[in-house]
Amino acid sequence: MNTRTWLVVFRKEVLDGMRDRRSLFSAMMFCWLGPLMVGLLWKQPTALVLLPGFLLVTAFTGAMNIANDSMAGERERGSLEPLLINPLLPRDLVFGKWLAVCVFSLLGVVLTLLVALAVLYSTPLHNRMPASALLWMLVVTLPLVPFAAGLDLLICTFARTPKEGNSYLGVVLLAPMLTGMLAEFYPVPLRAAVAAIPLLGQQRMLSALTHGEIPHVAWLLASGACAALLSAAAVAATARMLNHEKVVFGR
Amino acid sequence: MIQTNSLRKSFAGRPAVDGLTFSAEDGAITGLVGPNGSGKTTTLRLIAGLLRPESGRALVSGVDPAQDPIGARRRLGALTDGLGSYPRLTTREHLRYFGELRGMRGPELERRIRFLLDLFDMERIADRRALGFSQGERMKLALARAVINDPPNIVLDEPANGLDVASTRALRTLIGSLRDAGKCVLLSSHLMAEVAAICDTVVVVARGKVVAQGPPDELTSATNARNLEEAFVELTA
Repeated sequence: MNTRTWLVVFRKEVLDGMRDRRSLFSAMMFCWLGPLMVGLLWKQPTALVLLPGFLLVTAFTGAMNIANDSMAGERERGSLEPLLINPLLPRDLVFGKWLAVCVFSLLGVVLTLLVALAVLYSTPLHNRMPASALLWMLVVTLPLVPFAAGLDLLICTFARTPKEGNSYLGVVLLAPMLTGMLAEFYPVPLRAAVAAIPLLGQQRMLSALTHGEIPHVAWLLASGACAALLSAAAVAATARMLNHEKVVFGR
Repeated sequence: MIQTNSLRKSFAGRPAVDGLTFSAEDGAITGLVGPNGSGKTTTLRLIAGLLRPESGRALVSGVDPAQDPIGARRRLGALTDGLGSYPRLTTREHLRYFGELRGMRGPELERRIRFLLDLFDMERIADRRALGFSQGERMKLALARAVINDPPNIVLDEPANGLDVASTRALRTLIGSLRDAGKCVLLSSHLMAEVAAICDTVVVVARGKVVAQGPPDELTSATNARNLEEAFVELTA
């Protein structure tokens, strides 16, 4: 890996992403909506059950727009070809982009938890779940950040335009949504093998946290290791795709 | 120096480049001319290592881009079909990004950026974001980033497209100064008057093959034509 190259790409993608106000605004909407809904439903005994699902979703929605712009957007603008003429390896390019996408995914998760904190203390919900549980939620959701970034980036590389990318990402977004809902209705007992499955593992551990159960270290390690492996695979697959003529010139 | 030797590439079974052999010398401007679909852009992409040839090879300062794409690209600046820019980055930020990707940094990079902004008369748009740039402004930006690190070999695909008179003159000045500095300049163009005025050698391609090559005057006299444009029509008919 060429550290200088991916750092240059990373810096550019973060700067570019931060200036994309519309995308930032739409990603922020997801961060507010979930915890606010929990706050509005605070009288319901199951109000906190909504939080895990929304956290899973925001890890993906935070990553979506920048992943789409940095892959499908490059293809549509015709900027991928001049970029690849530079003396850089596709893996360094993709790694820099992936790190930047991770930053935005993490921002989405952190913002969601901050709004959740505000909701906890502006309603009697803090009597049911302590603020420290939100810190644990951050720890549990962290492995999902590189996974969501890698998956979104890979999916968007198949798209020739951001519009096409959005249609693919809409389908991808069903994964955290459905996992969040179904796992709540059909709770799989938590063990290391379940914790290792991205989305399902996070959902079960987050749900357990809303009931005051702290996840085991082994579960967290299994979850982190599996997400790291899958993220690395997604980055490698994306880099391989950039060697294909159809991806570089197929506009 | 850029060389191609029996270079061959086809798309969906149709040959785009069919055994192309030519060389572009250092300290000279070589024009690659041919009708639409004759394989010029494909040739330039093969030289930049963006496409892999089916057979034959290209060499950029002795480095085969199919074997060592990074090594070849270090020695090459290229303006290809893709003029794409980033709508939320300014001209200066674009040049800095591409300069850094080419290993430049600090005062050396900033000096080079200032030089190119001045050369292409881009100070006015230096700190403007690329969203809404005209075709000419996009072309100037693409040209500037192609030569940001002052590479020894420069490949330019239709560089005068969309440029106004002043920018075309600046482009001519740049290309001339690159030649005077001993660099190898390979450019494709449809503007025969431009090619005749600035190129030392012209390579005429048709249907992926070289049909003639030599100095513009020689090609014109060999075909008993009045100018290069007539010679071109005669050679590619």
